Amino acid sequence: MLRNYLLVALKVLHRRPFFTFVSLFAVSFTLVVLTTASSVLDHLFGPMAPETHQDRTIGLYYMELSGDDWIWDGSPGYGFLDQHVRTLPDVERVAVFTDHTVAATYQTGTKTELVAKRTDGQFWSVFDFEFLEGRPITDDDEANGAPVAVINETTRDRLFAGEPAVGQMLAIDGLRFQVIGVVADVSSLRSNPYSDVWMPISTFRNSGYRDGFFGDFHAVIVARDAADIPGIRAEFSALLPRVQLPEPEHYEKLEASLDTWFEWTTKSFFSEYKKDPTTRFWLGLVVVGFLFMLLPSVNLINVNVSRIMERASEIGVRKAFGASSRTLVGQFIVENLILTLIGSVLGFVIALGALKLLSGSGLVPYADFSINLRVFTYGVLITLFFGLLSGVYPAWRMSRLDPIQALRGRSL
Amino acid sequence: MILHIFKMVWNRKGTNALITLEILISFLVLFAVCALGAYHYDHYRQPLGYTWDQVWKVEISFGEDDSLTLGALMRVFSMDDPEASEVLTVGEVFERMVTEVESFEQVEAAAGMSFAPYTRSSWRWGLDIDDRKIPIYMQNASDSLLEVMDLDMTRGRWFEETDRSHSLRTIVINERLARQVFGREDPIGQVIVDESDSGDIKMKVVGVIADFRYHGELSPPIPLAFMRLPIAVAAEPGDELVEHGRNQHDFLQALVIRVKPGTPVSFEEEIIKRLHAVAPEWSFKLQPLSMARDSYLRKRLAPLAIAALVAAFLMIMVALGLLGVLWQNVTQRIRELGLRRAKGATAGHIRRQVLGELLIMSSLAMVIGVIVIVQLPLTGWVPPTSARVYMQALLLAAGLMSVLTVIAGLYPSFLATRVQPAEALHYE
Repeated sequence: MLRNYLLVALKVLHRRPFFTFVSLFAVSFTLVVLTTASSVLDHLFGPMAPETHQDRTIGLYYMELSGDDWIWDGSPGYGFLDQHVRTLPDVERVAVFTDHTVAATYQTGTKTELVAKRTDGQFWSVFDFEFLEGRPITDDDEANGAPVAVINETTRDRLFAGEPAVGQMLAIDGLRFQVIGVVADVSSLRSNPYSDVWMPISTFRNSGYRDGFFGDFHAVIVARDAADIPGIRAEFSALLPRVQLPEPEHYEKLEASLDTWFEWTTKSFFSEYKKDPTTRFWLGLVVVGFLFMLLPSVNLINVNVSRIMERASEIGVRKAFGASSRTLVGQFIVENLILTLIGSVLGFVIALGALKLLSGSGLVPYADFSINLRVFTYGVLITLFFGLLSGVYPAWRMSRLDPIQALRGRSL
Repeated sequence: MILHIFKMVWNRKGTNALITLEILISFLVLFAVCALGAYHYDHYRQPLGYTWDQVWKVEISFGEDDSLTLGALMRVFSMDDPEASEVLTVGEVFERMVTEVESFEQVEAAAGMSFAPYTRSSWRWGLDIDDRKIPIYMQNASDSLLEVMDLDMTRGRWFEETDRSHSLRTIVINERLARQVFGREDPIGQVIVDESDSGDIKMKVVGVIADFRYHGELSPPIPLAFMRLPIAVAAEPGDELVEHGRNQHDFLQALVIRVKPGTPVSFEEEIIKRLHAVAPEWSFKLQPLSMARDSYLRKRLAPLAIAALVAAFLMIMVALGLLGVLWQNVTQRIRELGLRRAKGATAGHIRRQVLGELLIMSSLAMVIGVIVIVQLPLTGWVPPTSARVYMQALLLAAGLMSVLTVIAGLYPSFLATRVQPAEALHYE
């Protein structure tokens, strides 16, 4: 039965190449856009090196102090993290690091702008960097303020012409660092580990950061097990009222939460730091996706309806010989699914090219967008949904066709 | 004639409703993209108020403490002798930096300001003026900014050294702010008072500039005021200038430098070295404005380009789809069209009928579309824009949509004229 449908479907596709082309164009274009979008989202949120323990990682990215008339908010400072987050009990590791800054180096006679990040030693155990040369920054380096730096592969190519870089000197913002390691590039969308060059926190020009309540720092906490996370969060919330606040004459309440990477990204996307906006994010995504598919769907419905009109006499014959409406609807939906599947295969191939183009464009530094099994599954699900959406109405129209009229070759 | 075509469209309402729906959605998509384009173009064509081609900016960060005010004291170590140090105000350090930079022969002038152009940062005051709350974008500026940024003075004068003796702070505002606060009155000589807990600040308007859109060409124009900041703030207690210095508003975070034409990029390093010599604990990020502008435009235009690309493909898809549907319609109506030819209708008549039906459907779709679009500003979902931008986008979208439907209808209407009456009439 299904084989028959398949044969008929292919015959129909072959008969009017223009219609087939239009349908395939619509399906594959829709798929290209949606697959590209889901690949970018997957690249932003999905587990991937160096963030290999993402399921049991939470971080502190934002705090808010408030009083009657005063509000002070921003990233936590080193002092706060050192005192209250590093000391959290029952966690595997805590890494403290700065946000990105852009630094210039004039190493090769021209200016090279580098994204720089300062980290402690734990950072290198929390994130699973792939080392091409040398070693990571250690707790000892951080304790001694050792002027050492880890760079990424692209920076090695730019500054040292791809030669081994360990042992070389690097001047950043007028300070001199010795390169101790080279790691593979990390996508700039993975804001926590991403940088061009990493240095110990203690190499700041002055030590004013040490006492900061607010600052430019983030902390990431790795739990021993994903199940421990609620406990760690509760522990952290419980200690907040005991924290000694700066400027107690103005501020009386400290609010902060430990967020997963996904929660934090959606929070900063909506600039909505107190509520959990992840539901809103998914809902928004579904609505936008649906709105985007609206036009291609209506287009495909139109083309499909036209196609059915053309096949009116075939349908009339089948009806006259006793095919039920349900069989016909089934047949048509299967035909449409076959069409959308062919279109989606085309779409995947084009999407691969588009993603390669996007990765190579430098629009997102170091991003290497790809289609993995997760993205592929999303794509197939979207295709099926799309095929049903655009097939159901024409099939219903077809099932209503009056066999006598249809046999005479009349339209509705 | 038109009524007749209406009737024919109505007779096939099932199919035609779907076509109309498709045109309606396409029209809305086109409008969205056109509105985005018109909104940005409207900003782009308004004058910036400064020139960027020979100007370099240096953004300064003060380590962990980003709110150094000019009156704050700091210990500066000598580069030559690590043991030697002196205590200076931040303002004095700034003044030294400007003097050092201006001593290069490649540099025409240097000035300090709060935020150099092509930044995302801003500093806003809500001023209560005549019971109205007017948001003002503030910038501190030193006297040489006029020359460095090549500002366009439209009325009054820029800051000068004698402003130091004034008991009031002097400010220069842009035309937009002058219009908002003073309307048709002459703003020169007027005094604006900002009341705050720490004491009122009185500011006297001495001049008006055309504009200074430091967020970049594509960002919305803003009401703006420059406040004169004497860079040299002495550290003597009791001096009024120190009071200003203690004021948290008195900060500079950037230097702008006008270089002579043809200055190579490698000169950047010399400037940075010189700045580090003056203030070893600060870090400096130097960038020619032309580069900052390039990356700003790229960042802002990339989403627009992606939206336009997706919309273009959607429209190709719609045109092809419509073409297919209309083509199919014509082949279905061979008998009707053949009959008309047999009764003496010319090819032109037939073409007019097919295209006319299509135009009626697209006009109907666009009327519905306009009704939907007119509701949008009422919902408050879209950012407020001028009515002109709205109209431009509407007209552009309607024009594009009409072209699109006509292109999609041309081939089917040509096919319709090729119907032979004899062939059509013996169809059954």
